[in-house]
Amino acid sequence: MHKFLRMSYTHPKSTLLIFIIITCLFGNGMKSLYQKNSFAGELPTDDPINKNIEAVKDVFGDRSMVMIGLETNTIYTEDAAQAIIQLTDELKEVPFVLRDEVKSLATLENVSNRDWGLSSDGFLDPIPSSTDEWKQLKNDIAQNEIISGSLVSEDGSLTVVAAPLDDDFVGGKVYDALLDIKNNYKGVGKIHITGAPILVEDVQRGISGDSRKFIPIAIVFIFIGFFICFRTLAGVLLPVAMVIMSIIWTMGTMGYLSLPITVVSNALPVIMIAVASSYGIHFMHAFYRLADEYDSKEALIEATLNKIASPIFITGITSSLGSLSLLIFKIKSLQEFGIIGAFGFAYATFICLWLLPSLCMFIKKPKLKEHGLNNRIGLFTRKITEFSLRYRTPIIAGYMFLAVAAIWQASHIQVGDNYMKFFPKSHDGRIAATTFNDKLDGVRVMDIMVDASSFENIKDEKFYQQLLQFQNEVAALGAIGGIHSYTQVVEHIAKNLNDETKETNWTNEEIAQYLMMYELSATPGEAGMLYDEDYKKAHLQVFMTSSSPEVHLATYQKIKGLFADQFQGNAEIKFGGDVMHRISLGKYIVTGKIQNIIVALIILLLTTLIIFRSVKKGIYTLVPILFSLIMVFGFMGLMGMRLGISTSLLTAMIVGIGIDFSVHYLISFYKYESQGTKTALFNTCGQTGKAISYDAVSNIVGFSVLSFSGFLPVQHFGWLLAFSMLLIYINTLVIFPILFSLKKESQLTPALVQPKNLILKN
Amino acid sequence: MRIIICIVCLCSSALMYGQSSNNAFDIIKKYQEASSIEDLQSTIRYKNISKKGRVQERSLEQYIFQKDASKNTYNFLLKFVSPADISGTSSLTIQHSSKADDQWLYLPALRRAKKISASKKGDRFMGTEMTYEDLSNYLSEPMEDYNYQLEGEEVVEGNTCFKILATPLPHAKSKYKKRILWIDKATSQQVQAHFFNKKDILQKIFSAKDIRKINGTNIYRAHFIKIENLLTKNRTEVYYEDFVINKGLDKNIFSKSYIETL
Repeated sequence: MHKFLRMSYTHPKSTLLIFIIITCLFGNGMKSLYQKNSFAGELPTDDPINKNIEAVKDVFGDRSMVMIGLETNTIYTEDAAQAIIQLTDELKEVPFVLRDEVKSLATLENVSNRDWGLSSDGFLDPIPSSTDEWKQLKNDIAQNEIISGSLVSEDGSLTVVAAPLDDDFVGGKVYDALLDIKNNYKGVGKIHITGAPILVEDVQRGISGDSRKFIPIAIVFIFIGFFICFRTLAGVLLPVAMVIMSIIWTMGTMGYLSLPITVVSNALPVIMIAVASSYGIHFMHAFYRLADEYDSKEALIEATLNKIASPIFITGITSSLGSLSLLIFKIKSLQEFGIIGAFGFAYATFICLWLLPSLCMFIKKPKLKEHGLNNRIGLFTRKITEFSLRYRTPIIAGYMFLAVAAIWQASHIQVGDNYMKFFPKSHDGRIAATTFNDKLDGVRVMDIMVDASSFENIKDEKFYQQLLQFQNEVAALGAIGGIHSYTQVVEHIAKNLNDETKETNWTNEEIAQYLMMYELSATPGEAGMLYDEDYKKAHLQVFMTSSSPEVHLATYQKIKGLFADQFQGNAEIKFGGDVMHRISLGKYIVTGKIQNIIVALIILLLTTLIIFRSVKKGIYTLVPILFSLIMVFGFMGLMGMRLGISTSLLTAMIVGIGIDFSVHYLISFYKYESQGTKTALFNTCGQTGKAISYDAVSNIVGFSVLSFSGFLPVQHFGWLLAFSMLLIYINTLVIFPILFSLKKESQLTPALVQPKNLILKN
Repeated sequence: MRIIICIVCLCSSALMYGQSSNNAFDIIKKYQEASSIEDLQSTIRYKNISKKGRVQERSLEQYIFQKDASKNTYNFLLKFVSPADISGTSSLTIQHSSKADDQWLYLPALRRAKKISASKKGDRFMGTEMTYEDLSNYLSEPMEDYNYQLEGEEVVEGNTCFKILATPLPHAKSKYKKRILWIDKATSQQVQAHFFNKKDILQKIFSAKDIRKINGTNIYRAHFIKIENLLTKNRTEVYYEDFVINKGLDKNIFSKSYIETL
């Protein structure tokens, strides 16, 4: 391998040219990158929940809802009525909106009983013109269970224009069009836009926007750290070039492999910065440290590679394999991240070992610059080592206690993402969703399909009564805002046709004829949203006022129980919709995370076994990483951070950085081991310890910047990255001295150690 | 000289336009005469097909009586015969030229007819893609409400047709900006029509097929019509059978008391 590596600095211009050409090719691949904001196709096709979601979709379509809310003092004014009509017309023109299913006071018929018969005029057709007509409209809405609380708030201050979207909708286009409507609105009151597709887009754009804002700042901080470390411009620019090139290659590969940018792969540049900068700092640190020992640049680079190539190569390969452990997840975006992360870490290794040597040929041969900070860091790492050795027993006890406490805290981690809490409180998306949750049925939807085949069909009076009873029980559950189903339509028509005198035990014929009456004015799409064409399956849209995954899961389980009690196996229920997607994702995050940690650790163990050819050494490598993992998850539990899709990536990052620190530390330690354990430890903390200190501090400061984001996922990701880095750093410096002191107590030879010299030398 | 040529050209165009307009008017007049009825009864089977392919099928008997030829008003009686659980459900509409129409609905489950709101021009007819305006225009072209322009001849489904642009006059309060009609030269029946909404976007396509003579008369009728809504992607297909035209339908069936006996 070294022969091949040698080419990089014996032919630096050719090497650089080749890298520039390859970078251009990958840059071209980036043109094919595309954003995927929906969660379609995320779950495995054989997953039982996913199968049910698809079954519901097959019959009733996806029908993701978008909603425009008009909030004003009272909607019962001419200006508000005009605004509703205008917003309805505008929503019909939004791309992917099923225009014949737009629901608002401007499209729905006001089926109400009158002295002369049955009125079925539009609520706003014509717009009321007298006080009595407004009073009548207000009364009609209050009496109409389909409208009151669902389409118009009970206090009359909020009304909705809602529409389902076509199955193949593009969230970005819908969002832009709705945002245009909102921004151009000049009528009475205030406009809110919401619905699951809007929330997803809000989150995606918010995260991307804050990432774009804070990641460059984080990078600047990281490279200020590099400058403090090396005190030369080249010491900053070379690792920067390497990190940027690694990201371009990785993103280009994503483009060529047609892998989309998802909410998960959005985190890729951040993780690449953390990992690639780590490789760069080790290379440059060794390069500068050895500068005074060699006369020529070639000899210096050769020596640098001899010292650093093996640990970087081992680290790169192990991190790539660790990333591939994400394939164990059954969530597509995490699997894709595992693949692309493996490419990314391999590219970073390759670029570090081949490009940096060639770039070093273009700069002046450096001279070792000793500075106070360098010495202080060396002293700090040495003190940690001394402290660990001196207080070994209490530290071991402390670690055991921390590990137990962390495991206990980790068992309390809440799983799944609570979208509402993603936003800052002042964010329009959060305000809109909160307003809808407070005043109307809510914005999150669980679709329920009830199969009435065993009852002949949904017009069967026995089935109808049982369904009505079931719905009433579901509606009484805490988080349910409202249920839209065909029974609402039947009840409303029946009530108005029968002058509110008859009992509600409708016969088969009555139910059939009331439904037919509805169909005479409804569009095929509107009827198709409530039941299938054979009248065998009913669709219940259950609106929820909570966005908590725990509440969703508990509600889902309660509904299943209520259905089993009510129908006693005589009908079949299937759940679908956005809420079920999240429940299923949560399930896979938990099982996938546990499997992922086990597989990642096995991969690490096997790789280090091969490298060190010793089980004991392999296990030693794992110890700081394992403790770091446990502590990070314990910290998440303690701080109430949720284990969601993006935080699931932490293992890959912890393994990537952890193996980097461990391998460099251990290779250095074993190199000096023959001089005695303590000497080896102090030499290691004086050399490798400094490099990982700079790496850790730069990244901790850099990623802490992300915690200023208003978006919780970005904030938590920043905190967790910084905290993980700190833990890995501390654990590496504390645990290894303890482990080796336990191993070879007899070899602790303080007489051999010359700390002052070590500090000066390094 | 150039000015003279321009004036001549302008005059010629104006004359040609006038001639074209007159031709169009004559064609429409002939079409109106060929399609107008005094009374009509037939059975209908119609399918509403949604964008997603959801099919809703119903059969009914229709009875139509021309109430006032000069005012283009009709009485309609529609009686559903299938599916079985809605059989007997009926709708009665009495059109008026000077006031809102009267409409009653009879549901067998209710055992009485209930007066319901009069339908508006833009309302869907019996849940189909056809509006009440479309239906009225199809039954008898409202010549007093439109300006017609002949736009040439085209072959549609093997029939040589006149292509006519129909633009509504302001008083008509049409839901459309314009219609383009294709009138078969041989039968004077409408074989195709395009409906453009107020934004001048093609919203619906009407097509009529299986045009043949009604037994024992010289009257042609389409036995299959299709209306496709290009904006919603829904469509309605209507199959007609057993036409009886101008045979003197009993006027008394168009009453509330009659539909309550159905």
